[in-house]
Amino acid sequence: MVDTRDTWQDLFNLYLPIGVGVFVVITLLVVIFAVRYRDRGAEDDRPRRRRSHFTGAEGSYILLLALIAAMLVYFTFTEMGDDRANLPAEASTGTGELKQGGADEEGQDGIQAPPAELEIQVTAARWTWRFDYPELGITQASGGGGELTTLVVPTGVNVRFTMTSLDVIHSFYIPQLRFKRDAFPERLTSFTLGFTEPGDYPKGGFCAEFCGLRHAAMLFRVSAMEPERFRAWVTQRQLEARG
Amino acid sequence: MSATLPPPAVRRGPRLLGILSSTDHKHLGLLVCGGAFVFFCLGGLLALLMRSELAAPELQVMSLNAYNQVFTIHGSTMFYLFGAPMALGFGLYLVPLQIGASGLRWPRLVLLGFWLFLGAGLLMYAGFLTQEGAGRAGWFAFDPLSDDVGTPGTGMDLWVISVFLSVLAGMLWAASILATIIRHRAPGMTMLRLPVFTWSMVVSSLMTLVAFPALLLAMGLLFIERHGLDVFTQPGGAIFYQHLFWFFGHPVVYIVFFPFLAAGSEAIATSAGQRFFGYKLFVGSLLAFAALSVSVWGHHMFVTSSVDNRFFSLTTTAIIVVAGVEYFDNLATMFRGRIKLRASFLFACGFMIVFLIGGLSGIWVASPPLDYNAHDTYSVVAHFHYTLFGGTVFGMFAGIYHWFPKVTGRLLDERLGRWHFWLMLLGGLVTFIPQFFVGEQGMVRRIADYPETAGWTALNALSTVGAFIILLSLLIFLANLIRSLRLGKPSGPDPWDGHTLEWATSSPPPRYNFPAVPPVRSYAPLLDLKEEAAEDESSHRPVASGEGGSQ
Ligand SMILES: [Cu+2]
Repeated sequence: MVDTRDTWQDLFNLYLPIGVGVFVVITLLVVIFAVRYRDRGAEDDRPRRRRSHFTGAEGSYILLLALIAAMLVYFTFTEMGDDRANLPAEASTGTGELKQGGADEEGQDGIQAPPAELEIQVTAARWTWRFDYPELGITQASGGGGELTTLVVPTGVNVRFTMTSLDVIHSFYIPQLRFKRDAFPERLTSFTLGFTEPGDYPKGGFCAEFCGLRHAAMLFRVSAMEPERFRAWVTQRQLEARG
Repeated sequence: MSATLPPPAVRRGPRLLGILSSTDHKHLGLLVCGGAFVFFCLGGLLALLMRSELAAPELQVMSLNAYNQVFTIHGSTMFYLFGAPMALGFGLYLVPLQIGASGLRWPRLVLLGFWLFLGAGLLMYAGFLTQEGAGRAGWFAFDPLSDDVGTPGTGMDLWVISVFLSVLAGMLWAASILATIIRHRAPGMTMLRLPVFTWSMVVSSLMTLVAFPALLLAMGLLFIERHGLDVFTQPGGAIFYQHLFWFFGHPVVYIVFFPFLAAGSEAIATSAGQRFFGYKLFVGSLLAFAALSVSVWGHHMFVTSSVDNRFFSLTTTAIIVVAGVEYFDNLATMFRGRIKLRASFLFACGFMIVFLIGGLSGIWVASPPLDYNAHDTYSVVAHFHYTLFGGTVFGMFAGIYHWFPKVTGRLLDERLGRWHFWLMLLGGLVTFIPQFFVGEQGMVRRIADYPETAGWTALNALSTVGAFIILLSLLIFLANLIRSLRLGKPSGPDPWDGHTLEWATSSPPPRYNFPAVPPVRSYAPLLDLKEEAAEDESSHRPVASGEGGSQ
């Protein structure tokens, strides 16, 4: 299953210590140099720096920087690959047919989209969200009056999202999944997400791209359900729809 | 020897009108920097309005519509009316002095640029007086939000025209600076003897001339789009706009960074009393930096599914190498120096430390999976404020404390300068560090209101407190500025024992800068002369006859 949180966490665990370490070292050097080499008046006869360049030191330092950069890029690329490739085999034998990613997806990470069990169409419009489940005949939309739309998803499987906007650019963002994607008018964007933990996500979802007056209020709820509960929810919603 | 310079010519008459139509590069530089500083203060006031609104959930200070105008004009002011003009304005004033020239090439174009820039600023702020309000589609004005349907009204039109004019002004200034450096260097001043600040202006001007036309085009097309002709309303149009915008928008970040990086480097070398270390490598890294800067714009578009994220991640992460060189050279310049802990030096150190937070978090957001969370959240707000506040603002103050005596003939007060520095450092940390945390937890940008349940209230309140600490530090600076302009100690031509040619003439310099330009044998020509004189003295030979205006 796609696990964007895991990908994020792996890179977080790599980048944070390096960043903090470099910050501490350089800050210490600045402070130590400022104190140690401060001017102490006329009787100061400590040795001065004699050279104004030092090709050997400069060269090795550049090499070191290049190695660090290469390492970071390597781990980032590896994780981006895992983003797509690290899938349990049974995912492809699920109920839904195997859905290939669109051109967008391949252009994005160079890897085909993982197989998914559920398809959800996301429609963003100022300043609300709509979620359609075409295979199930369900639509989740705001009832108006500032009520938020709820995205209901099953846990433990890949969910394939196809997204568009009816007006300006919006961005679908679920902080707890560490994931966002822009929604453009007249254009489909697709991505695959997996939800590991069941329950209502306390922060829910946001529109992350500024979209005008009520951008701040363009939120949605996220409710992840274990597959059994999700099936019950689907049945109930389908009954409601037939009404 | 300084007494041999002629007294300032009869320039004491009707000053203001004279300055506003002057072709003296010093007047031009002061006009542009002065104008940019006024806009810096206005942009800062808008930031305080925003921080006041965000101190608590719900709306207290202003409406949603007002907030959208305020953050749009804050960002637009800081880039189009403060950052780029201030960076290039420093160059207009200092480049001719540093290369031993008597003035700028094409000074009338520069003056035209100033008037365009002034018009741009007035038009942008005039938007607040229109019915629908000022520009309110962000400093980036992505289409289709910025078209006539997404953001109708005159205020937004004024914003588009204003940005167009300010970009045009920047190109005129950059062209003049570059032409001056190419054509008006003093004898002996080869390209590899240009002071580091002048090199930063070469690179910034080049980037301006390469990147600004993209925004000129974008604004032109956007104006047409807003007035009835579909330009971006084609499939892919919105993405095309973003490519144009970020092709400008990333280099501009470096344009407002390099001159202040180099200002810090000059302040460090002078304060340490040592030649700048690793000059050639520094120049090479600036050039490589500039080349990379036009290949990284796609990292602003990682979540659009429209760019090759791997490519832009690679080019962006490569910036570690060139940026690292600059830190190495600054530190090595301090190594074994005799550092005078002046305000300019403190600000240069502040630049290194505060900018470092921005640089390191920049490497962070260059990794697409990390950016999928950080993009358009307060993490990114904190990141780029550490680059712009740490880089541009700290570097600018290093430059101001360093060159104020040259420009005015008076010294700024050092004690107030230290207060200014420590409060601004504290304010910068208290304001933006909390934003990393709320951003990591998902607080998105450009919102006047946030859910109370999200648990972001305390951190936002702290950030607001920090903003007011920055205000306090800036008030101290303004007091210092006003006081020192009238009562500051006379500085003489060379108060810091400078290394570069601008310290070889009187403060302020006369109309055509140099009665006689000293010989130039390296990128620190004045330091060469001083070292020669010291050697002569130690070997008990008669002191060589003073060259130029130096002591
Ligand atoms: Cu939106």
